[in-house]
Amino acid sequence: MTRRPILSLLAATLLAPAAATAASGETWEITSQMEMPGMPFAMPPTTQRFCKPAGDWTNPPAQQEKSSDCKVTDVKRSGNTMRWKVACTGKQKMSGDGEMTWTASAYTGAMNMHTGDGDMKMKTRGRKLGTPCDPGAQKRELDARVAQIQGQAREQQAQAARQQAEICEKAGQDMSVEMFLPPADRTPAYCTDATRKGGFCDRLRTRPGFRKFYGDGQGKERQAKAGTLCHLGFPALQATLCKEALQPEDLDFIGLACPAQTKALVKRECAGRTYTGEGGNAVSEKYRGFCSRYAAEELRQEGAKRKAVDGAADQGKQLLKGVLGF
Amino acid sequence: MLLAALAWGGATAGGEAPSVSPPVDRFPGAAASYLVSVGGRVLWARAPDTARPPASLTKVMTALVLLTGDWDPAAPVTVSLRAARATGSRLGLVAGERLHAGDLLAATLVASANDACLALAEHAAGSEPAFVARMNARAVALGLAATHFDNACGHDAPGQRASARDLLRLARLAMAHPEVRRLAGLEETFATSSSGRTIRVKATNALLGRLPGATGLKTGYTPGAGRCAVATAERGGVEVVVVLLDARERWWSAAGLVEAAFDEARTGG
Repeated sequence: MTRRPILSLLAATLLAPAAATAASGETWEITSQMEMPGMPFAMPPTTQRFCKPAGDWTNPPAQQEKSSDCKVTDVKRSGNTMRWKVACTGKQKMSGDGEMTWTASAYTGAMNMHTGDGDMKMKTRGRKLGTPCDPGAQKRELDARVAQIQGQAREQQAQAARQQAEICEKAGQDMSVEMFLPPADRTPAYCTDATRKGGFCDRLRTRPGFRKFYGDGQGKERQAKAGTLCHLGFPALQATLCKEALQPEDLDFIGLACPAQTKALVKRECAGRTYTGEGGNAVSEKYRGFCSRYAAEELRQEGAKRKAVDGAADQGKQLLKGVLGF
Repeated sequence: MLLAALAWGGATAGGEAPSVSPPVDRFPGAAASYLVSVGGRVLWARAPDTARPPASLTKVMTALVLLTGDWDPAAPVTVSLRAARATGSRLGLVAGERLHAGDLLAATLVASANDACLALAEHAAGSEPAFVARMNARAVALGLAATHFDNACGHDAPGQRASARDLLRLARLAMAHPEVRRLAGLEETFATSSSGRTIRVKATNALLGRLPGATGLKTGYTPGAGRCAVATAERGGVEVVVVLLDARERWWSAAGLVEAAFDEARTGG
């Protein structure tokens, strides 16, 4: 229903007096009711109070807000009766005319309006309550409130933007490719900032970044996604980094991400060697940690083999002995 | 095939999530019985409640009983003939020789010296059987259901037994004692007799100085027990304890399991 904003606008137009010049005002209670041809039921009347500049009606009712797109024209006064025309532009486009008749303590009036949704008529009646008031206060309060809400909205938007920036920065550091990719439901990716996306890709091309990404999960699908995001072939990048990791040897990286290089190093530095050097052929200090991790992996593999070959408990033992000289 | 699946260290490398109860036997090749704990939580184990000969891991209890009794490291201890004749690892003490109790404890824990261990037990309780009774009473008090001692220093005997889980408990208790923790981390120390003889005491724990973060604790070997070790290590405030009973290659196994445990702890396993 698009009529509600128009009704609010019109209510404001009819109920509110012209911009006050008086320092003091008087409180009026206004009841208005909208009639729309074709509506199956009558809209209930609404009552509200407003502060009118003290004294006679010298001006036709006018827009409360300066920013309004409505203009009042052709104001004609005859005794205690005033007639005028109103035209609004913008989203709430309409034209109409109004009339009001008043006494010192009351008035009645009506306004006919022609909108894109049809014709409407708003009947109003008012009575003076007389309580002193400041006619500008209502507008000032409204302006202040609007400014406050707008300020809050701006701050909330800024805070949300900062939060998103922080999350995306961390996503780049954590090599969380998922944050830079649109999820399956085709909604946009959470992190769309080109700089951060570029940062992720730059980091992926380094051993620390690659290691972080690779260590968090080695699924081929995830690797392919990262490759697509960064316009690179993941296997080719892995091969390049593994080659670089050999000079000088980055054993942690090789052990994690380079099976072929690990195989060669294990054969060269671990196989058949002892941990302590007792009996000779000790593993060198440089490779002790590397070979220890390999030993653990072999012990784990032995378990898998034992499960696979029920009753062949010594098979893994023989394999391990062959590699590390156990 | 032999060198398949060589990658390690990542969260998915192991493929299995750690389990608290019952622990997963993820490294069945490590030892006949083993247990790996991070911060007191058992990650992986094989036959952790099976009673087995503990060899010189017994001396962890020996040290605990000594230190929680009427302990005076400066007390002079006279080596008995029986202690001087103790077999296995030994300092080479001579009957009648006197050493400070603190030096003998260091030799017991660092070098697993049976002559020093027996001299201390006799000194503390008057006789080895009396001391062993204290050890068994302590085991009962601690609820170490699979643990029993026939002797003070770990020689094979029908009633000399402990489980990996009991030894983990003992190790954590022992490492909470500042003096045990200090001695367990020594690669080398010296004992001096009253006659002025200085004896070099070299650690049997091969992980010290080789495995980053290694802090202790004790090794053991007898024909009945096989090669045993309680390896402790700490990195970044995270403590790992590995208990191995009858390990084919205890140092590779111990070092490998320690590394695997730290990897698991680092990746949030």
